[in-house]
Amino acid sequence: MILARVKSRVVSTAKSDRLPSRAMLYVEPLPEFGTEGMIAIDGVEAGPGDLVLVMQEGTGARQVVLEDPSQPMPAQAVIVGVVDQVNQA
Amino acid sequence: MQFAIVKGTVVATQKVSHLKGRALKVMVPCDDQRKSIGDPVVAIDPIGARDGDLVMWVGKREASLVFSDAELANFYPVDAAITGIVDDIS
Repeated sequence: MILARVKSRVVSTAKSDRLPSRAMLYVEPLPEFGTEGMIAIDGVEAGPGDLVLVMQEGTGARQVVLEDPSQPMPAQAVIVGVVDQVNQA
Repeated sequence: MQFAIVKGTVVATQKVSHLKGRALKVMVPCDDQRKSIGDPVVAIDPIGARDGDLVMWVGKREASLVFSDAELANFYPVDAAITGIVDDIS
């Protein structure tokens, strides 16, 4: 998983019916975790400005987002937590 | 998923049977400001995006799951697929 900052909300009407009707957020990794932003499905009601935990694996994504994880879903990145605090040694 | 801008269509009459009847698009990955970030990619397009559209797409194994007839355990030879046309980023 990586830490990322939510930048904006993504709206798409014409989308795959295999994607869940959940909010999609554009997130940018903190510099330590990468450079390329991505669209993540929101599993925790996060919003722009939030520091979030992003998981990027398809099977885990289905577990978080779908009622029936045995259904296919063409997405990898899911926001699995809103970070309150990071303590660095 | 990532953003990309659709740049064109690929026509390939002779292709593996799993790709028969599937539209192929050339797109350039970009960020939320439509700034290019990397080399073009050819993707399967089940949505019907047009040239210039800002789309979202998925890579790797999950790309094969956009087909409405695809089981979870499928072996479609696809590594990039358009998953939606983006209306707005706010």
